[in-house]
Amino acid sequence: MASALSSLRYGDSLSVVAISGATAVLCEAISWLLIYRTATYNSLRATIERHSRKLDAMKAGSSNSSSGAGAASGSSSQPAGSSSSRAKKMDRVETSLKDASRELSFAKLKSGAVVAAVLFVVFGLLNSLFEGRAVAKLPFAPVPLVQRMSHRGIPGNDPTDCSMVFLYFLCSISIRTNLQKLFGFAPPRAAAAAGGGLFPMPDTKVN
Amino acid sequence: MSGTFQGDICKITTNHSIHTTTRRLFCCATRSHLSAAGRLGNPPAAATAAEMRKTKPSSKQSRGSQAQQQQNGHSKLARYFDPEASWDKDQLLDAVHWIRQVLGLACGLLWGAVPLVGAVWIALFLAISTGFVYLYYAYLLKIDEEDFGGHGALLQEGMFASFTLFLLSWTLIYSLVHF
Repeated sequence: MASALSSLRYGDSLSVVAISGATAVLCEAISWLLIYRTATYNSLRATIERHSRKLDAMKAGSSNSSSGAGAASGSSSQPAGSSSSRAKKMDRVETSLKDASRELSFAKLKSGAVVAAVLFVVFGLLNSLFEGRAVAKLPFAPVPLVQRMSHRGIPGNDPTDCSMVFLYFLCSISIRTNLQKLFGFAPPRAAAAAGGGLFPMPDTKVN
Repeated sequence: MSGTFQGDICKITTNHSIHTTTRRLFCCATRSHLSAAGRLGNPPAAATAAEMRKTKPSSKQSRGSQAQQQQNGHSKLARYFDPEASWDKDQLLDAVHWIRQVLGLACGLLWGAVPLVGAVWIALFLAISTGFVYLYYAYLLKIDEEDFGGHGALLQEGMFASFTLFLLSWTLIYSLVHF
């Protein structure tokens, strides 16, 4: 196999992909060990999903009631107070959702630090192995901003020469994202949509 | 999240991702096998005892369970093309994500094998990927996009990951096959 790889001009690209894939699996395993299997993470995730479903149901209900109220404007059977109470309920659920998202982000800090350390070591290893040479040939000339990464450390002016950094970046994003999706470790969409994070902006609706 | 078992067919409505759906299909297939044991002439008490003792199923029952699993597999795949199927937001977004990944990989392999060279083919991939997803949810599934977060949420789901997967596969095949 080594001879087959060496016969290929850009056989190093397969090595980069293999190491990136193995690193992605290792990082997900570390994340699973440190955070995904804990009760705290699972309960936070369930809370976020529950609040998200509740919020979606409330939004759907309020849109239906507003369209119904518009159609039957003569009858004033629905007092104005109920709509304000519904809005307050939605605000409360949204706040709970943001709080849960923030706690989830905080809970993932520990594994995030370990994963970052692993990625740093692997990147250093790859850099030492493949520095200064093109590991692949790009089938297009990237824009100058991307060329800073794709042509990093490579002699010459051919923009289609691909450095390890760019290939590693492509591998990391594509493999890790899909691995997380496949194993169910992807963060809840509601957490990302809530936009809480560790340092949320102050809620302008709260006086 | 709910799963109802009706006869031989498991109707599953769940808010979790595909891997959870797969687990629940397996559980339903197992339950269907046990129910089939009841319908094959064993009295209910014996069926319950059979459940508790976990006796080895006969060859006819194992063939029935295999057929049931195959049917569930086919129905799971057919569900992605069934406009009458009920869709949860997360389920649809997951389906769109995986469709994009498959498209990205396929286009990358094809672009690299031909080879197609030039940045213009990136635009073609983006157009194909977006158009395919739009045709899928608008014309095949015939869903109301407002119920699922609008066109934006559906069209951007999985876009970045599929784009990087496309670039990766395109670059790899082009480099390895043509140099």
